[in-house]
Amino acid sequence: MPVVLPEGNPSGDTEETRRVFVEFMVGQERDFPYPPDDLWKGRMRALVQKYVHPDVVVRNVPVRSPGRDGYADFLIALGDAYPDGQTTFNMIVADGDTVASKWTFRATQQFAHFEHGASGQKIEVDGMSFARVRNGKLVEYYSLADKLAWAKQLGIVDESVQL
Amino acid sequence: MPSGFPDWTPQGDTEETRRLFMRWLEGQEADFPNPPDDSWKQRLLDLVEEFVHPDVVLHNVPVRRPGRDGWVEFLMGLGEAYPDSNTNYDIIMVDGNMAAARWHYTATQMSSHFEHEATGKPVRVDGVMFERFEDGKIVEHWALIDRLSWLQQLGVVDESVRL
Repeated sequence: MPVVLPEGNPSGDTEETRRVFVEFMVGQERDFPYPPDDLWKGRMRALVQKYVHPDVVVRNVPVRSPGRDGYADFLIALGDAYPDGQTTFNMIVADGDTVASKWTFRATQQFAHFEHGASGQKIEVDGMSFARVRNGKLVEYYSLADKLAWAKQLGIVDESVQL
Repeated sequence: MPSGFPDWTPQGDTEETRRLFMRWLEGQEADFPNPPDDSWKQRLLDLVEEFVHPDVVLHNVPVRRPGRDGWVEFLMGLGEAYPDSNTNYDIIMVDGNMAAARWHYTATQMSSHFEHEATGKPVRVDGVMFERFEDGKIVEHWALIDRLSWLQQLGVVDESVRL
């Protein structure tokens, strides 16, 4: 198992990075639970514009287009399909310009998401996300959710599959 | 959609944690690649004994028994099934007594693993992890690997499943 390590450590203002990330995540709570009207979508886009760089590099998130617009589209599609979704952050660590978080997402799939029709299933999925902040905005965002557990809870993948 | 945040930030000596975490990761580099003999297993055992508490709490690692012994078994099982693996750390960060990393893993499945027979297939999988250190040892470990993508690359889960 050879390993390759990055050169150098994260640099920057750790507490400023932590503040920007938490403010952005708290802002997403403002309209919660998402009402059936579409007003929250405009506010979500404005929030993303405030905290995310237009050319943000988004990794491991199933976006349909790159940059900030694709990321905002993804958040809105998730909110549409899982309007009662709650993300509980249980760890936030920051180091220079880099911040990482560990969370649990609980939600009910009320509408279609990707090619998966509305299942009405309740899900509880663990995830971790990493971001890099420069001049008050996210310039990189990476998120990994336990998609195998998610797919099993929606009934798309058989429970018996292990890895 | 956040519904909760930790009301604490990690405490502890960030630079001491960084030193330990880097030595733990570098040790894995020094002990591999796996030669066809079994001497790497003893080196892995020694490394884990140096850096991991016997009662380490593991989250989201498919172990057969708890604690350090279970973790070692898991790592050995992975090393046997995927002997040519490479782990590239894309981000390493430390905050107080916590460390976090995101990485990608490339390897070929040369022998059976869980119920999956040897496929000879190469995989490239993303992962993330958090470690909590106490008195110089890892006492808690959280991991998340893109198991859905891994299973799709092995041909166990259909490519069409997307989340």
